[in-house]
Amino acid sequence: MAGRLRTISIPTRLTRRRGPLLDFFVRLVREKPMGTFGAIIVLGLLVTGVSADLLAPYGFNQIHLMDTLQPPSSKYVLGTDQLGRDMLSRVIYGARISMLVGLGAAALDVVVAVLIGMFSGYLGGKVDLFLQRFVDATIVFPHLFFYLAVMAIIGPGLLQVIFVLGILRGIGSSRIIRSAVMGIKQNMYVDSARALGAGTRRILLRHVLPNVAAPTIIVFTVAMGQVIIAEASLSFLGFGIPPPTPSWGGMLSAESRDYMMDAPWMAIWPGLALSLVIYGINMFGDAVRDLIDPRLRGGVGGLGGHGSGRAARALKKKGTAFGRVEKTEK
Amino acid sequence: MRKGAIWLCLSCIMVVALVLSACQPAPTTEPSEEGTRVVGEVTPGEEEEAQEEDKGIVEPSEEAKVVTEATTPKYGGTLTYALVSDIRGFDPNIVNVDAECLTLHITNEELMTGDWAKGPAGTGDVSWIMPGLFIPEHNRGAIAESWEMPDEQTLKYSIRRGIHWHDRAPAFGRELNAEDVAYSIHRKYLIPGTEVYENTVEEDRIISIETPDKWTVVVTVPAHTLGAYFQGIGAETWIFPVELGDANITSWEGAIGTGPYIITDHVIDSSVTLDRNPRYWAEDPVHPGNRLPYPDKVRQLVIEDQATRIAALQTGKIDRYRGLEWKDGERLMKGNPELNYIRYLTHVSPMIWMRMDKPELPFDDLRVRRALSMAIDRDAIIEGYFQGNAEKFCHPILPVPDMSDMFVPLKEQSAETQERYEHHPDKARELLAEAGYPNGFKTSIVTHKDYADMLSIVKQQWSEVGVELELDVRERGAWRSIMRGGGHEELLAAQITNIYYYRPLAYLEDYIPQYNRSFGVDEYVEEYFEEKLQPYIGVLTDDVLRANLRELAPYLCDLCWAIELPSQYYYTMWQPWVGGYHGEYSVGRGNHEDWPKYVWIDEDVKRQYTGR
Repeated sequence: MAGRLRTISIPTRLTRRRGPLLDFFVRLVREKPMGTFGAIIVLGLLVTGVSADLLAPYGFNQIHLMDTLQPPSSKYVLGTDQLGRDMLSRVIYGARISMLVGLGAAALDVVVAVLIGMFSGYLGGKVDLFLQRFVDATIVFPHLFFYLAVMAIIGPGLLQVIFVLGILRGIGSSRIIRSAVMGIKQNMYVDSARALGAGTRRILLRHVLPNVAAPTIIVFTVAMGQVIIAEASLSFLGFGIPPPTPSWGGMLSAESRDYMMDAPWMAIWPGLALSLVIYGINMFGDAVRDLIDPRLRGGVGGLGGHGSGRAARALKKKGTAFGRVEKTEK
Repeated sequence: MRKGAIWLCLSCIMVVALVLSACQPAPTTEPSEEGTRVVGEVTPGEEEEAQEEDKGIVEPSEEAKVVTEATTPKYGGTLTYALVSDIRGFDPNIVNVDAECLTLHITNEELMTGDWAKGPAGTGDVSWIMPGLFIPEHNRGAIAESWEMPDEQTLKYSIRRGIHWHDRAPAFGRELNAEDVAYSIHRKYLIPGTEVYENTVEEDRIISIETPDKWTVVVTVPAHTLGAYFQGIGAETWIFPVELGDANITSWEGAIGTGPYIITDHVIDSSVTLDRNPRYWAEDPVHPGNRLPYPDKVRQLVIEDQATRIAALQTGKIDRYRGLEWKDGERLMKGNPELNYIRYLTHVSPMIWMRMDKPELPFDDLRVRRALSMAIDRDAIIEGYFQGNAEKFCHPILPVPDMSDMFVPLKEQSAETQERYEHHPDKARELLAEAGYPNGFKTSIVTHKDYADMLSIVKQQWSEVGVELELDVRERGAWRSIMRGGGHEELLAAQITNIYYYRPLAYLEDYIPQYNRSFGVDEYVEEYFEEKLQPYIGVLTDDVLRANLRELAPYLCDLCWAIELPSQYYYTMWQPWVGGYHGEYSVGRGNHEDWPKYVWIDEDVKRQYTGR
């Protein structure tokens, strides 16, 4: 007759709440080992890029004409290229280029996406119609032609690559932000703010923008990897960062192909570096997306939550997070 | 988990394999053991030449292998070679013949052509490697059987009988006569709107073209232009049928000539197929009695990618490849020892051009130009970057046998010129200080990526004397437009075609100003030109002109109007079943790729190597 009695133990000491950033990294390490590995790679890229001058044993364009096409040795750890330049130094400085392009273009991508997406999604109507047709046209237009045209007019260079990649990608990414904004603007707090007399600008800055932070972060992390690949592709085709500045894509291009049979290390090292960084960024980006997805919020570390079964599996595996469930036999 | 572990292991194995392959031993730098072995007829005079004092001349036979198994001329087979880009047209009035219409050289003919028998296949007097030379004594009649210059304004050609047009519209196999020749000369020189017409000043135009009979053409020209028209009409005018009228040839079906081959197919951006002209008139000058051509078909495959062209040569898909860079040539020598080859210097030299018209820039000061040249260690570039496969002094006259009587070796040049081709960074700093740049200066150079490597070396070497060079690397089309428009602000990297034997004026008036807007013939060489060269431009006996060109070259070197960079060697390689070939390219003035009619394909030998 009596139902089962459930006993919930109350912890004698309340767990201190972590800050969101710390919480994120703790959860990253605990739940996403591959994401952690990716984060380490991204961190390594950042550190290498920033401190290239300290890490590289030689200058990236320091030529040793008598040591051309040397294989890896104690003097040149990764070998030399056709001009006797140290491959390790060029790969390290190439990391700087990738870092700058990755961060710069991804940041520009986000700024453009947020600007277009926010205005388009919030204002709606003719503004949305016009902006989305513009976005449609940009998405359909072959980006490579645009790249080539811009490079032919203004010449190749690091800033040009960042600008072109960031702008074009941002226009495409605005769709994601627009979708999020359209969902947010249906919320009660937006109506409330409007009823209280808040203007469009205030609503966008105080209510909409903070709530699109999650998809924005995801756009950023995803964009970083894709932008690095795009820059490598442009440089491989000869339209990216011009020589002698080392870019991994450019290093894979003409000179590596010309000397592939004689000095395969000229292609292998930048290729490996590029593969590792892209893999790491993708893993990290996937982990970021999984961790900050609202559907999972509270599924493990917080109250409530709708979960997708992952929370239940986690509970089963580790016990309670904030309590312990005991079955009491009748 | 297990699956993940397996994938992780496989990935690690791949990475380790890549790393191990990257750590292979350094490539050997010993020269090829093939050496120089020429089998067959020894070119007369070759042994004596080897014993002469070293005149700085680079003989193609010094680095050559011609061991052909196809020693007996044979008819039949298909000769296949690659084009870097598709042909763009079939009419020289529309397209650039040299670069865009290579089929014309084997479908059509001129009044005279180079004598194959004077080349490596015969006496060896000329190599036929360079495309621009016009040396009358090395030519023979083609459409013209003979010619004469009765006075200083008249050219008279006797037209060869028995030459027939291809059996297609509009001539349908008719016999060629003087009217066709007169029409063709008029078509090239006297039609407004064409490039030649627009580039010819009024006082230099042809005065009259007459055909007193069916087999004679008489051309009257201004007196001072006789030599130029002798070359232009004789060796640079393609003959077309008079029925063509005002029309231009715009498709392969309309391409008509009297040459050894007839275009039978053109697949855009893929291939061109030409069939043997069964009524072709010429005989092999080396094997008299043999009617040309030997191969039944010629196929030109459009292969834009260099790696693909090389692979096609290695697998026997193409029979010959010209223009292999030295590193590819050396690799193929080891990987495909059956290939024959010659090594040669191309007729263009990479140069750094300077804006000497801007007084605010340092380059109008000869001391600065000499200093910049002295700061470059060309020997180190040749040894380290080119692995010995380059020459440092090729401008303005190439050190090749065909120009040996005009070439002045570096050791016979002035002391200043010799000095600036050596590496003297201390002297360079002194000169810069004298010129008012004790701390050097900053400058920039417009280039395309092909020169980026060499300019990176120059950048480092110039930095040692305080000159900071910034590379402005442009896409090739953008670079070309800057080059042609003279839009470079300070420096420009561009190659120059070295002096063409009979066109020194073109060299000085066209090429130099094209790269350096400031440079005018008048400013620097006016006195010399008027006195030494101008009177002889129309001269038909060339000994005086060649002597004066030999005298001009050191004078130009002393001016240092551009800084020469090392010119690399290239290879021409061909299959062992191609007989009668020694690396020729242009048999006569501007006859690019007209050699196919003289060579043969030995299908038996080909089958031994390829199985097909």
